[in-house]
Amino acid sequence: MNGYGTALAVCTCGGTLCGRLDVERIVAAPGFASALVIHDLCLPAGSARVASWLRETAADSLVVAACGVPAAVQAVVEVSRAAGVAEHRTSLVDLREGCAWVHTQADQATAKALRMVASAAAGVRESTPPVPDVEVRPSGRVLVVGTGPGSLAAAARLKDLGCEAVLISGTLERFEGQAGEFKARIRTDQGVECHAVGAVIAAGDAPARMPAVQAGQRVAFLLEGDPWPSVTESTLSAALHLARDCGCRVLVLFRDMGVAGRGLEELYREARGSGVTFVRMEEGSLRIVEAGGEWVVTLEVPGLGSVTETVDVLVSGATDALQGTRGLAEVLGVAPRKGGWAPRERALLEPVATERNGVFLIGSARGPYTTDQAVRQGEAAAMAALSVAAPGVIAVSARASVDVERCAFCLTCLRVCPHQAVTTALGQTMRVLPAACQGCGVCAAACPAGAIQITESPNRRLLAEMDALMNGPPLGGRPTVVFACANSAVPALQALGRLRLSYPAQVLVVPVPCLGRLEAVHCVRPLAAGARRVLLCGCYDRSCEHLVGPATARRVVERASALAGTLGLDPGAIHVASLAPVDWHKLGQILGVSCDDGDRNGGEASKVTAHATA
Amino acid sequence: MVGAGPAGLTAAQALAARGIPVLLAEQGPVVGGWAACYACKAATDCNLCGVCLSARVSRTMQPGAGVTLKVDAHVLGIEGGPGSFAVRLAHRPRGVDVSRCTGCGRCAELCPVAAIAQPHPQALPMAYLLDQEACLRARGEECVICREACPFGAVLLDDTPSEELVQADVVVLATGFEPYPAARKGQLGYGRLPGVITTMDLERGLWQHGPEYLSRLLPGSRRVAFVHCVGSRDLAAGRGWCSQVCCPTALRLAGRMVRELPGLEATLFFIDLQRCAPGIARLFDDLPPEIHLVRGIPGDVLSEPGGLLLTFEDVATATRRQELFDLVVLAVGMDSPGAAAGMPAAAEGFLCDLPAGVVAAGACGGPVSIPEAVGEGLRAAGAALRVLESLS
Amino acid sequence: MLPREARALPGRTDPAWAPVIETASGERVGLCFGCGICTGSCPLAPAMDMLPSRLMKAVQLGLKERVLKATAPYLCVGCETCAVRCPNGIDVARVMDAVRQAGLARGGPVPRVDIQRFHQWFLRTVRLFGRAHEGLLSAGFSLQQGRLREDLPTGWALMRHGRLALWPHFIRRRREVRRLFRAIGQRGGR
Repeated sequence: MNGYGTALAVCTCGGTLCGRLDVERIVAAPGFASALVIHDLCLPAGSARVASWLRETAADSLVVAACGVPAAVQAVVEVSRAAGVAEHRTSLVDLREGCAWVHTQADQATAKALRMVASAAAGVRESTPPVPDVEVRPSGRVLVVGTGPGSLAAAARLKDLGCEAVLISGTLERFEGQAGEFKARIRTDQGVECHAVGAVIAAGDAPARMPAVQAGQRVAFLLEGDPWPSVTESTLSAALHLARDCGCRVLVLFRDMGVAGRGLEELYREARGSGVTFVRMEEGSLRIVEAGGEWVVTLEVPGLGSVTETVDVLVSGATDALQGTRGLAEVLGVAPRKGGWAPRERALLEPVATERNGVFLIGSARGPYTTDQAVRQGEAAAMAALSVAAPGVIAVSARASVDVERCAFCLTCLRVCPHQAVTTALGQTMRVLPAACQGCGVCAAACPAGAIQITESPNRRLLAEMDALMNGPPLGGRPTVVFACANSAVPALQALGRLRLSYPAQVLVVPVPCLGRLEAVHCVRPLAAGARRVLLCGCYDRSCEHLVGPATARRVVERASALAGTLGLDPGAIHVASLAPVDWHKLGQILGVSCDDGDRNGGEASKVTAHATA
Repeated sequence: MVGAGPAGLTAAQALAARGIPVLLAEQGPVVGGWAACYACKAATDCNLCGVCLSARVSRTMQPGAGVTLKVDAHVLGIEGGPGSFAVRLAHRPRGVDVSRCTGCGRCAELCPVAAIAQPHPQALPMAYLLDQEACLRARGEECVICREACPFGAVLLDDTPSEELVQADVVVLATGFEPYPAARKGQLGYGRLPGVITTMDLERGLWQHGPEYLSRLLPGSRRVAFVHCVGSRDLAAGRGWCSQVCCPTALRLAGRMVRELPGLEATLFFIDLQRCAPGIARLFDDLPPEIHLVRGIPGDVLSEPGGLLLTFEDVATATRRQELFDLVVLAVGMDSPGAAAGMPAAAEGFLCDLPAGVVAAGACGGPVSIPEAVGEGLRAAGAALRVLESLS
Repeated sequence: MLPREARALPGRTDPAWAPVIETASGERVGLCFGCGICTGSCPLAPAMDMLPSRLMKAVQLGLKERVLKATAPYLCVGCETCAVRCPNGIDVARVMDAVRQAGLARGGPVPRVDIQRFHQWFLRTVRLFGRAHEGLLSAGFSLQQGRLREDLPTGWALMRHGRLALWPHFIRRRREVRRLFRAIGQRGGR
């Protein structure tokens, strides 16, 4: 659309913000070609009014100062569409939860609101159009690795849902590409096979078979490792069968019986009731001596002294079964880089997915799960795989892109990307795989040449927004700049707002997709512009969706503090803090305010329960 | 879709993403289920409890986008078969029009008795809720302050219960669970002795009030006891299953508490410590020294001058002991949520052997952790899709 | 703690013994998973040499010698608190009773002779009079235990306060009670 200037629309939330902010001053903010005040952006009537006004102004970009609720976000999208303003040229500023509701002094709040609005305007002017959508054409084929119940369940469900499951019996050697278009190379006895698949569901192999025991023999099972449900399931099934059906004398020696799985306590009870004898190895001394083809087991049982039994067969419970799948996880690109448990712990927060889109781990490839759990995960993974592998055409927009002129082919981005989303392309340059990229920005921060940018927030835009935020009317004190991670600090800030818990207006928030997006320069710049403190607030190490956010942030803060020192700024003014999105109390602590039950207005959540029964 | 906890939300979103229109009926005023009121239990690092996974699933619940959300809606009955289900919904009067309320809070600012408030600071919908019993109108007074104050005309003072019949091709039940009623174990003193709470109370209190809640619970010298398996692994009480999540939850809560309150000593009483809720063995390898593990469930909780006296056997040393504590936390198990509109259930009440076209997801089929519940949602969506495809 | 001589006994398990106790008591001892609630609820546990849950484990393992040497089953008063609270629904008091019976059936020295004698005096008075008679019970027990001198003042004080009757209370159909005892004796009980 050929237009000029940025338009500003201010919503007063039914007039309720007028008492807390000087709306007239905000509407008169400098730098806007036209401005409008409305009262009900999120209702159909209100957004229609904004749309028609916007069309009349012929502006090419729009800043909406309103609230942060999903309805408002939706309204802005609709308005821009109706008025022909490109979506990347719009910006929504949360003046309600992020400003009016949390700052008690109206003049300071207004000053902050003006800065926020100016920052948004600077941002939209530096915005870049999205990269044209790339078409990904999955064929409906999904690779299923493993021979256990989980893989079979996944394959069956995939078939029901209209996909083709490719079950392999060899070893996966190579795996590359992006969700919807993977290439897998498998080595079988007959040679090498190559498959083009949309997703992969990797499970372990079939559970351990029954140990070789003859009828009537005396058997002892030794469970020395962790109380894994998978080990419990296989041991108890075997023990029960041997005791009940084969006339064996069965002894099970264990530390903790791991019954955390559907049906396991019931299986345990059945074994106990069928004559299997269970004895705890309570930090006791277990001595096993081989004597003439028999095993003499001696155990110190607390309170009962020394107990001895002779058995014919000794069976050890499987330990560390997951080590066998580490190789597979590495090939799939979802194993930790430096040692550590495979799959990495963050994977445990997802039911079946991993940090790589389209790669799903289930059953014993994910953890010591029982057959029932593996089957459920297999069926869940089949549904999840459907969204990336179902036959058809998916239009994916790249959330990051490489400027080939600047790229020096150093491969840093490929090494740091947590989602396996960067690959080499023809012409000695790098390419971001749109279906794999999750827009965290770790690559952008790491690139020494600044050649890779996140489409939504290229570096120029972030810097422009920060500079505009730092230059504005006085706030009543030196600002504290908070870089807020979208998955944790941003929702926690919104909660502070909804609860009307106040914090100083000097706190200026810069949302980022992940703390990994930040470089030293982003941390030092606000200090140079007069900030008192810079805080990087994000997820914990184990909960970061992009895996490396907090660790990257700590390294960046070290570098930034050193840099600040050389520039004569306070090197101790930059900090990293971790919190969960539901822990607004911790955020309050970090911001240095008390989060006691605030106003009656929304503070007393106990009276109206979230789980009211009819 | 009945129930908007982690399982129901995930299933609804997964189906909507495939273009299936979903009606999500939730009996509470907001989405998120029990997980919406659980606390973060990180100590120095995240403990992978899954609460923020559930929060993320709730957050990505966009209005429209194929899912029609009906809160305050309770299922009365389900009749029919695949392709032709008739579900009777009962609407509890919220007193506020969810489609018009913007959460501005003007009504709550002016209400003289604080009868109208937002039910949850983060969950959707963010519409306010009128507590009909606290409202002055319940006493016959003609108060219309909130309705007059609302700039959007969202207050409905004459909201009455109503019923509705909806059609569906497939029904997914994600009705969650109920915590075991700890008062049934009279010897443990819940509901009788101050200083005895459940893990559910602790989660909720910590979520709502933060660390200050812990200081209030344990003001003086601080010894806290966690009693596991209350209402789990208990065939005699009709609960012969392991509820799976209570051991890791107790460990996480204890870890958080000893970190927030220096000088606190926590003792966990268990039968078999389920520290391997799958795959997380490594998390609990290095427990802080303030956490003590005792194998042996206490028989009695008695109120003594020095605090609460627990009588127990320390199975590892085969000694019978008594110890005083200031706070006793009962790790209650997960019960079935009760009759789900006449659906068949197993002896323990969890759903099983459901008729064609009805799918169960999440804890209503048996205890699960939050990440597992999300997986259950995906699984149920796939099962529902299968039914739909067989119909067409 | 078990007395030294009990601990010194060979701890060889006897898998055949647990089913014997299970049949005798009618309780599924194998179901016990060692939660310790019985011990935690038992009012006599502080005085027991083998805690109730340890005794259950010993029965499961078939540690016949150690169990039969323990005094714990004799201290059990049958209050059944353990039975009420056991998550597996095991009546631990009945198991204690079965262990006592097994010990008596085997013959030989009884771990708590005094308690055994007390039981016998109780049964004696019931067989004689149809009802328990504390007077004869306490006097006989006291004499047999050789503690008449210590108990006499207490007995006199109780009698003075009308708490200990010298004359027993006879029931009308004593013959039927004796018939009951004879029938039990014929079936091998004692």
